[in-house]
Amino acid sequence: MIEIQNLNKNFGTNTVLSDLSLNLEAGRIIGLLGPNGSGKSTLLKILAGLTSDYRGTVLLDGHRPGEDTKAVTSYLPEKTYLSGWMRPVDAFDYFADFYADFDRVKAAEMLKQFRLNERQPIKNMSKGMQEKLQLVLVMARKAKVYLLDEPMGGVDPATRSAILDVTLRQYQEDSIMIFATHLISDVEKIFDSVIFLGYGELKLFEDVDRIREKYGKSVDDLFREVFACSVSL
Amino acid sequence: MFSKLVKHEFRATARIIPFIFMVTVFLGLVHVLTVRLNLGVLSVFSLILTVLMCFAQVIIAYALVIWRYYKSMYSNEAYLTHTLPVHPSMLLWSKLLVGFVWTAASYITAIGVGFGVAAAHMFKTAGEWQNFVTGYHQILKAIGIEHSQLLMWFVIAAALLISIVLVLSEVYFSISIGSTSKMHSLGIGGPILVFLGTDMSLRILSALAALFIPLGVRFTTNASGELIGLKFVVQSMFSQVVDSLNSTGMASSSGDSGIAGIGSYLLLPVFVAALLYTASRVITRHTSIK
Repeated sequence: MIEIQNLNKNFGTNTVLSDLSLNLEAGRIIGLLGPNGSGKSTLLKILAGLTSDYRGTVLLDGHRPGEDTKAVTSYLPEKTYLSGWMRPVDAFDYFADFYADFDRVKAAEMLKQFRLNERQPIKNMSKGMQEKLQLVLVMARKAKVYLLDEPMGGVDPATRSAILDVTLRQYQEDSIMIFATHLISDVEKIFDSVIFLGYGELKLFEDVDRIREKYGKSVDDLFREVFACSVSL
Repeated sequence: MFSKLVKHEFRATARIIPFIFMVTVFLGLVHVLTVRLNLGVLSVFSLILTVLMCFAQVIIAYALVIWRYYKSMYSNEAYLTHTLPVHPSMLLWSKLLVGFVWTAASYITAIGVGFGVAAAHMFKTAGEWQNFVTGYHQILKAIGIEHSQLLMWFVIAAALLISIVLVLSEVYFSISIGSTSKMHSLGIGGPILVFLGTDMSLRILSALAALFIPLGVRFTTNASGELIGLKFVVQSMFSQVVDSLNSTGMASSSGDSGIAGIGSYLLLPVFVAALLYTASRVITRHTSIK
């Protein structure tokens, strides 16, 4: 479903992704893990078609990121992207107009589950409420590829559970989901595989079951070991 | 998809810009009312406000349209805009169309309100309106274009509309180039620097085109300096300068004539096409949202 060959991306003299190669199959939830600045968001932006000045080959369902792939890719950025004047109903109109796979009924149900008012302007919502609304918009699509960048970054633990629940329930079995997060212990139970990105380089790409079998550790423990920082006081 | 992009672009911009036009029209109506009621000081005050608003609303319309482009294409909203399943050039065209409609509407509103205010002062009786029309036709006759006034107004309107498109194209081009990853470190300074460089280059090219392209309007004046003729000529300003230098001291005492080069107008569509083509390619191939 996703094929990445020798992907390189620089910001000026700073290398963000270096010779990255990956082959990701459909029907899996993949954790994209790495310390801050390791290139997770950049990789997701490239897959989503937000960054086009990279070197290497990137194919989603056989196509370069573009008009065709955007129709089947549902991307949740870490930033809030809706205009302040919009209300959830306006955002639903917007998504329904552009994405043929957007399910308005499902979106309304999820909105209710998150106890959001569909007539409340976004500018009057807290950051957490805005994040929930964006998750609703993204997960109400029957996409082939889901790219979630820190979907639980700014929310309380109870909401994290609700987000995880919604994500799992709406996920389509024949699609692929890449889930970038720092909150590994909260989420690792839903991952089929994990990718460890360390400063632009692929450190590990392994099934979660295999990690437990091979290293006798949880993903969270292995992450801490691989990316350990020595701090002297 | 294009019609949907245009619909949502209008929806996003229609909450502020028409309101500004309504303020201008309202001020114009207040002024006309104060003139009719002979409210001296209030009339002067409302006239100043109306005139200021006529200019301000054009500037505000440009500012809002440009800000909207930057915000939706290169700030947080870009995360939604650039993940829509449309060709990137369609984003540019839809924003250009909507931006053009609003800025053209701002000029039309300003001209309409300006004419209305002037009419309130000048045409208090039917006779005054008749005198104005007669005077207008006399001027056209005096300069020899009474049979081509439609063409004249068409050329003026076309020049205004294409200059709006040029300004928007130049700004959209500058924002798109100035927001590529190589210029991220400059922040908002990137688009501003690109705009200054582009604008200067286009001005130099326009000046050269006006000088050297053999297309112009010959203005003929009488001995007292009044305009008595206008004529399109296939001659460049530069050749006229050369002719003038060759015939120094032989100027006629019965009048004079000069050529204003309009070859630069021929280049405007070329500038617009080049700017939009480049902007579209940059958006397609070099987009890098921060």
